[in-house]
Amino acid sequence: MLSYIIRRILLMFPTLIGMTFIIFAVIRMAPGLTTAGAHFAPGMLGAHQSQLAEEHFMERRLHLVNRHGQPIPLAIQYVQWINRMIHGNLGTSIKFSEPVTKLVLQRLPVTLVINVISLIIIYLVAVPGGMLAAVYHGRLVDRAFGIGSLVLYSLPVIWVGSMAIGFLANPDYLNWFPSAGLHATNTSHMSYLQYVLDYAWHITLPVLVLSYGGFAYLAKQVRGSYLENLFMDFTRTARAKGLPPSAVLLRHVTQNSMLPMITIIGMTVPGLLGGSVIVEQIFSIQGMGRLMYQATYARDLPVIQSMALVSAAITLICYLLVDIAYHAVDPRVTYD
Amino acid sequence: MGNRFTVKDFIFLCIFIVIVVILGFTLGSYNYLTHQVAGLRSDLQSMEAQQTSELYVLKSIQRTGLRTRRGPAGGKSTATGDVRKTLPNGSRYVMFPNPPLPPYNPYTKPDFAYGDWLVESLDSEPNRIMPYVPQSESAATIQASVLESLLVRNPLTLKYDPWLARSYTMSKNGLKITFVIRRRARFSNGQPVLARDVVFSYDTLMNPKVNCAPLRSYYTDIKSCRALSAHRVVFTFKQPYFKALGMAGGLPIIPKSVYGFPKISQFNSHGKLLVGSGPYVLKRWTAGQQIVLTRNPRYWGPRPIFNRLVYRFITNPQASLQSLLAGQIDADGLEPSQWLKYHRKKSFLTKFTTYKYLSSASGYNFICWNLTKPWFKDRRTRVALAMLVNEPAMIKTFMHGLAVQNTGPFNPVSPQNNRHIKPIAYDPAMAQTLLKKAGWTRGADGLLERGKTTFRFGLTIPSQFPLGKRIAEYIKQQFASAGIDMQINPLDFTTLLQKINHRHFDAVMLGWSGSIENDPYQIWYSGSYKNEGSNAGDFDDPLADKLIIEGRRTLNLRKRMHIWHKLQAEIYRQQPYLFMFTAYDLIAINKRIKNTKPYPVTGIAPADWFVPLALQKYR
Amino acid sequence: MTEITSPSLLETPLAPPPRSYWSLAIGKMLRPWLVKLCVLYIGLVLLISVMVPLIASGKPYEIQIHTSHGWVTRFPLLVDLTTRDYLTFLAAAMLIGIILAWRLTRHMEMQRRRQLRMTIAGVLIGAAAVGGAAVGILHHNRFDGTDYRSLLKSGAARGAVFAPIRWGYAEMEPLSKNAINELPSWHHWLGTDRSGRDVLSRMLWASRVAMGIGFVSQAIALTLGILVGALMGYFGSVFDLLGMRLVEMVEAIPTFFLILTFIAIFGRSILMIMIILGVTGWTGYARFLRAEFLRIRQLDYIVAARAGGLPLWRILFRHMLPNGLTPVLVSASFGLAGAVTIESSLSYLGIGVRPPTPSWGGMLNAAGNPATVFHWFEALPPGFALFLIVLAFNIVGEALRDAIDPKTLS
Repeated sequence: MLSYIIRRILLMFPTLIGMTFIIFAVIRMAPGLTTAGAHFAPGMLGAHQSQLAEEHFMERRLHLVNRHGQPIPLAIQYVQWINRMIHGNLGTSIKFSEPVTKLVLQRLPVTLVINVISLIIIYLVAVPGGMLAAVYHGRLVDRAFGIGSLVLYSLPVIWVGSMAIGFLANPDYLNWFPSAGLHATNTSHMSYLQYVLDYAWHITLPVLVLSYGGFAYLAKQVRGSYLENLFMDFTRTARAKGLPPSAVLLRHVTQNSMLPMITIIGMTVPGLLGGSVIVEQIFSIQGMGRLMYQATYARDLPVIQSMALVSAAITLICYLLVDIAYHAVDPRVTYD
Repeated sequence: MGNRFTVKDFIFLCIFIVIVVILGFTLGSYNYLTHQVAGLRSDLQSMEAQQTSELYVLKSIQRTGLRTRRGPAGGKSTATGDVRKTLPNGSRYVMFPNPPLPPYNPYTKPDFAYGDWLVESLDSEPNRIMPYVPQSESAATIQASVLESLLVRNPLTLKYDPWLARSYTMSKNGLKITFVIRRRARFSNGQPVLARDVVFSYDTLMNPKVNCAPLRSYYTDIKSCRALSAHRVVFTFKQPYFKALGMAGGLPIIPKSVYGFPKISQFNSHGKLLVGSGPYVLKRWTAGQQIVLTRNPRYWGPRPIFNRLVYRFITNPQASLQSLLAGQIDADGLEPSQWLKYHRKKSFLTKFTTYKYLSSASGYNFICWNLTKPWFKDRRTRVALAMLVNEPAMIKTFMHGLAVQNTGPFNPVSPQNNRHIKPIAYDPAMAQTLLKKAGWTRGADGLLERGKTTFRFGLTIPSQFPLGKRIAEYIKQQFASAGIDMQINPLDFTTLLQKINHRHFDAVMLGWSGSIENDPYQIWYSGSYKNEGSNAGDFDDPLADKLIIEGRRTLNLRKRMHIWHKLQAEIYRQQPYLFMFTAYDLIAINKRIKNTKPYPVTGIAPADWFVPLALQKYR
Repeated sequence: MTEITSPSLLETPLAPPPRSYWSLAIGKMLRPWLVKLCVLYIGLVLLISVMVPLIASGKPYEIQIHTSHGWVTRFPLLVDLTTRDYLTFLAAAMLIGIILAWRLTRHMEMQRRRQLRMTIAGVLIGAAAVGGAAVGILHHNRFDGTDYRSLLKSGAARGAVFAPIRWGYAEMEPLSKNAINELPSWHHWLGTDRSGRDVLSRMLWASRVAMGIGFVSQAIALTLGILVGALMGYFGSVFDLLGMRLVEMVEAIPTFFLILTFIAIFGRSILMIMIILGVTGWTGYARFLRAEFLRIRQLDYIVAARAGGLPLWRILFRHMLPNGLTPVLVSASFGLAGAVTIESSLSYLGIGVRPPTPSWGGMLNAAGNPATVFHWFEALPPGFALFLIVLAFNIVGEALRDAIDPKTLS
């Protein structure tokens, strides 16, 4: 087990290093960085100089040039960048004028909490649903379930989000939910229970919007692997032994259908992270997604560079955890 | 397949649910704890800033003896003893023995009470709230309750009254202003406000290493600021300037004991250090949520009415209306469409007081033509462009009629505004004639042409402004009918400002904020193009330049207004901007707050507000 | 199978002609009525997105204008179309022609069928090329801002023949309170938006953006994916190792983050968004094709082809690709759904196409963004259109997946 984990972690590094290469290369392809000010009209001296200063500023922030404005060779840039990353220094944002590390640490927990809750809800709904559909396969329940999940899967998040906020969180219609943020504005004098309730009230809509699309995918997988196991020999044997059907289902079929469910956790995380850009924007939640959006809009390259790396690292860690869990559940699985 | 639901299933389900609930609560408590920790941490930070001189306070108490606070007890203290006179040498002397009371004196109201909180919303979270450092509207709001200046402007008389200063003397030519600082004025850390703090504030602001160029550019006319004694400070000016008194007297004073860093560049690296002599001190700043100011317990002046001022960051109007209705915030500006819906609703009016007014602070929206570009060089073309836009209809449709049309760069309620100028009327036919006169002809591709120039340009708009997009789309259509192709480029506000600073745009839609009396120099003086002032469109008109220089030097109010009116007429003639409109301020205030009447020119200000004891909510 | 019903074509001794794996799979896929409906719907939306300049425009097809020479007949709509519009029409006509030719010749005898198809395709492509060149030389884009409706009203024009929907996507009614936020009426079938523009016209024009970005980006992604996947699958070893690492790296960054990164760096024109969606979306295709190729390359006929000394490209693209393409095609259907969704999300966030070009996402944002007032009747049509097209792609994808499942292929 331990050796497997160690091997798995070691194998993660080449991917991570490759990823830093890609991100590094892509960011340096940004137009206007290497040819600072060259494309600006002559004659406007003041403006020209301030443009130069601006580009210089950006290049300083990205550590493309040294203190004296001379360009640093690419290889050294890369090594320096990695070195700073290792020391937890992700650079300084241009839009917020704050260290990116601080921004990420502020916003990562927000996004993670919402995503974890969504993940739990997805599993709570989709696993029993998929099981039910498999048990009643071919019948009305199954059909309805199949169509329902396909419809949910196809509903665009932006539509559901804006309808939810427009109808359910709007004083003109139903003023049931808050339309922005994660906390009421008077958290400072709330008891613990009030605080939790308020929090739950605030995240209801975002979590719903973030999770409904995930039901379909997971439920389909659960249904598939359940169906497969329902007709396996061991199931037939168990039934023939005279075990009650519920025991057969729970002990034999469910246990054997666990594997794909574990994999899917890993597969869902990048999707959820990406989806949080839209959901956080709709519900004005200050999380990673919104940070990424704001950075894109303001062309805040230091932030973008770090966000790509951080989100990739999170995904890789998820993959790692999934593989380890997989290995724990089924020790036959090895890394090929 | 009959699968019965057995007891075992039930237990399994229960355990599962319990686990999920526990997980949920763990997440919740994690959040709660991080919240609390963040709160404590920011408390600590603000305490640190004050604690440095606790000892000093003790000493000063020993020295002076515990003096009772001289508040306007029971509202009996009036403006007795105030002196305004002209000295024999022609200089003007103003002395107030006590700081002036709020104009709509709340202390005399029958149900007046101290206490409670005032909760307001801010539509954006400031990046930093350091004094002087690049200002956002929201940072300025917060600083206004923490920092004080030597003089304050009386919102009713619009005159400057002494505040931190007990008196001031302004020489006849207006070049020298001497302030005497009140002896009891104290910063919130207990240190007295002294002349050296004023000098320090001025030096900090003028230090090129401090990151506050926009504010600094307004102070370039000051020649020097010197301390004459511990409590006397004198400002000298290079030339007469009508805003001299407001500038010198309006400079926010910061304590040298707190901001006197060993290296001045450290000033830029701080974000949340805000210590002044004001009635409130920064208590806590929860990122993404709110800034809490609490009553300054050692305030030198009249006791502040509210115990706390809370500013909540609510970025979208729908959410802030929700919070207002739920009683989570006390006052809020409404959108025109919200106003339309609620200002006659009975259920709304029983809970909220509403105000609609034009204030001196409301700015105007415009489209700035970049006059260095070939399309906009000719005056007739610009007038024609203005004629193509039906502004009254635009205001009626997009703003629900809750705005007034601008004719120039001055606020409609300000005395600067020339009321005799009528807005350019919508007249597409006339516009066509003018365009033809300006040399534009239809080319083979259907667009207007003049020589090698085709009339095709880009309009840059701030993307976070949905109304701007609609206006731009309307104008695009209007221009298209005349054979002009306008592309719309929405940009993030930060990027947009960069583009403007680099003069890298064809036309841009923006708004300037207003004030009681604008100094047109930054925006309209030709020199303000090269020195990175706000004259981004390169408006270069000799007559306007002359008027601006003359107006700035004229100290006589009436003469100056006459000059401004002429300036406005000249700007109107030139049409360097497409002037659009000034929107009404639409305010709803919770009825538990009393005495909220807006001032005639400056609009609402919380200085007079209070909550009667029976209606107080936060203890 | 209902399709094989034309006896006149069955004269040849070798009847019935052999049907390829492809036509079998597609025939099977199309069996349920729901899937047929979805394919038809997608086809309809595609057709609309191509033809929309002719369907929804404020310029009349034909109008008589009073000038100093008396009444002159003009064709503003045809003049107003851009060269790109004409080229799109040509390309679409060519494609439709080829598809029709394939379907009509489907039951012919092998040899004749191939000949006929080649001839038809050649003629069509030639005609399109000539037509394209002619348009390129003869047609010049013309900017026409004339308001023909007011001309008609003032009596300076007469006899106008308008398109079925008389409004362009950016055309506003003269500004007034009554013209904005109109409910559906005879003048505006889906009402007007908050700037007084016809919602239906904008909906149709938006389909052009959605379909254009969807198909082009997926074409780019497919090309990239097929290239990389084929190389990985056929050569294996080092190619495979490196390729798979690349795929892993690209997949590890959440798609939306990756797209935002690219947009921040390279800008946001329509073309750029197509390329960005293509460049970030190829990994799935590569993965599937690689797996198929790993399997196929062991098969006897490939070994035989290799032994026969066929050139590499011929083995790869002529013998292996047609058999390995099926799973890729399934995911292409889902990929299309994804691309349409992402495009609309980008427009919703305000980093998609530029205003006033309509996009379903942008329309949703205008209607449902909490920074503005919510109008449900404005939010309904674009949301529904988006939902329907994504659902259709997903249903077709599901059906295609079932159809190529070897367990059920008849």
